[in-house]
Amino acid sequence: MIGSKRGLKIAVASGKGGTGKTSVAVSLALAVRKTGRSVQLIDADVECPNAHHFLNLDRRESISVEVMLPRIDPSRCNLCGECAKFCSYQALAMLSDRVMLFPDMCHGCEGCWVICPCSAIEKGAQEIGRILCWTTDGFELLQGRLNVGQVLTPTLIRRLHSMADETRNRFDLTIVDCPPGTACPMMAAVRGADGLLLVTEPTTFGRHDLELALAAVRRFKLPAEVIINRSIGDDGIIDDLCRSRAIPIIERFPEDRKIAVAYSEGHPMIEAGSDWAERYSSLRKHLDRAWS
Amino acid sequence: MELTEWVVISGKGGTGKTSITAAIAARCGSLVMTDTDVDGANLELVLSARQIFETRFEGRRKAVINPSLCQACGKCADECRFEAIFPAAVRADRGVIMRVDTDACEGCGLCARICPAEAIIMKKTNGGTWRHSETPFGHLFHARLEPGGENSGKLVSLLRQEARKFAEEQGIPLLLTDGPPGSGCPVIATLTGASQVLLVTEPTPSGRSDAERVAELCRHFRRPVSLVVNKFDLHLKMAAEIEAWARSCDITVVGRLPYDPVVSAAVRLGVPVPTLPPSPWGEALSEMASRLAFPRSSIRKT
Repeated sequence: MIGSKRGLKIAVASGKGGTGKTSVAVSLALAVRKTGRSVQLIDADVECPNAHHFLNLDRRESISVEVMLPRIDPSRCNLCGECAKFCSYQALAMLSDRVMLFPDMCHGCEGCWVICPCSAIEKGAQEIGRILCWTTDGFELLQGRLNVGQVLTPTLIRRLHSMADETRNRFDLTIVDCPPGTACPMMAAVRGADGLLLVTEPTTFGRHDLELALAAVRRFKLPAEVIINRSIGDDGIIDDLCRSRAIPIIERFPEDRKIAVAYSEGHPMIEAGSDWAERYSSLRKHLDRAWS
Repeated sequence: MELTEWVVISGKGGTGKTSITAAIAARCGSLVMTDTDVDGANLELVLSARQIFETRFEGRRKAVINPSLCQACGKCADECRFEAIFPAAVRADRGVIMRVDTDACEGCGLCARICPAEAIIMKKTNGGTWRHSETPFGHLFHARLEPGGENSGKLVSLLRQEARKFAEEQGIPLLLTDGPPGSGCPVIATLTGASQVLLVTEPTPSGRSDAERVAELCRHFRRPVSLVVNKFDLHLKMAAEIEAWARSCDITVVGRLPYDPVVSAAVRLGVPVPTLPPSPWGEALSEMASRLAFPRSSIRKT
């Protein structure tokens, strides 16, 4: 049963965007919470965070996430150019009379600070985003929000995970709502999870991106299960793929306009009617058996 | 020749970017397409794309430790800001084994630079491939980022540059780019230097807040934005609110498209909607497309 070992972490991912990750993650969190167990939900889709829209919570805290940004002291700089030569991100450029900094390019590796032969670089800071935290009895939502124009998505996700890890042992279950795609943001979000739920849809788009997601997470060697959303009865296109990869399909949620309407009103799937509450109860029971 | 590039983005995934891009392409007479959703490229799947060229893309450099030189002093692990190097094991014969987590490594090269034993090198990785394909509606430049890979922004810039070069050579004045979801690195690389942005959203709390974020990003890069609300009839009131918000911040509202099963049917069949019999979505799309400022020679005469 979920909660028999504290700190279990399940990541909800998909590859393709808009397949229903957030709705599934929130619904599952609510389904487990209904049984009296405590849940931590991490919204790791930091470029487009949305889990809070589907929960009725009061915000408690907002924490700034910063990375080091070099500040060059012109009185100490001897214009040797070592920093600009070292920087892998082209964030520093050597001009004839000074070093120019492009803050948007900086990844905060602090290498320039380490290597500068005349200690002309000081540690400044730039905010890349914020972490918002909502807490109620037995429930916590931690959400990363990347500042608009910033690109250090994986860094913010890693900080979000470190922060969540501090309180993770207080909860029976941690659910991670991952960003779409199969690139570094998704990898950073899945990292550290004990298991993976992949939400897909029975279209060529869904299959194509699910296949990429499976290839991306293969190296984590995680147990993975698939949920087909917007099933139209014939999900052959996904069935084939999952059969060939020996990945179980644990749920087929039917295509239902009611869900789309409920979602537009800020309700996750589980709140779309008694039939949907029933589906989530059965999904929760399955996970209780599978994750004991 | 003046080249116009329209990019289609949304913030939230699954709002219909690719279906809309494909449908616009099918209505046009002459254009070059780019799919910059490099870690989930789907446009090829509805355009019967036939690949004519493919080449590798170089990924980010990653730290590699030579275990026979490593003294396990731990300096690299201490200095790595990405927590990408850690002591992985202790072996009786060799002592502590340091390991690089390649997913976490951002390729800054600091470890290689400071290692006293010179045991670390930065090695190029496979970043994926990019392709040039033919479709019945025009040429397509697309890519496949190595699953789990990085540097998607660089790959996006490369694709757009290749598409632009091809369009210039062929004298085709319109580029249409199907963008990635989100608001980060690949989206910024998609926006940079584009002429016009078509922002696709849907009347849901997520669609709305993501559209607001992406609109802010476009403002940051000073790109003109046009808005289309897809699936508008799911929530008429919110659709109207989104349109009112858009007008209040100088975004041109170019249309609204209904929730119509024809869209998923077209995806299932692997074709753009305009190639199917007339549908409410198809008609609304045509009307919307006619409001986009396309170069005259790109518009098919009907």
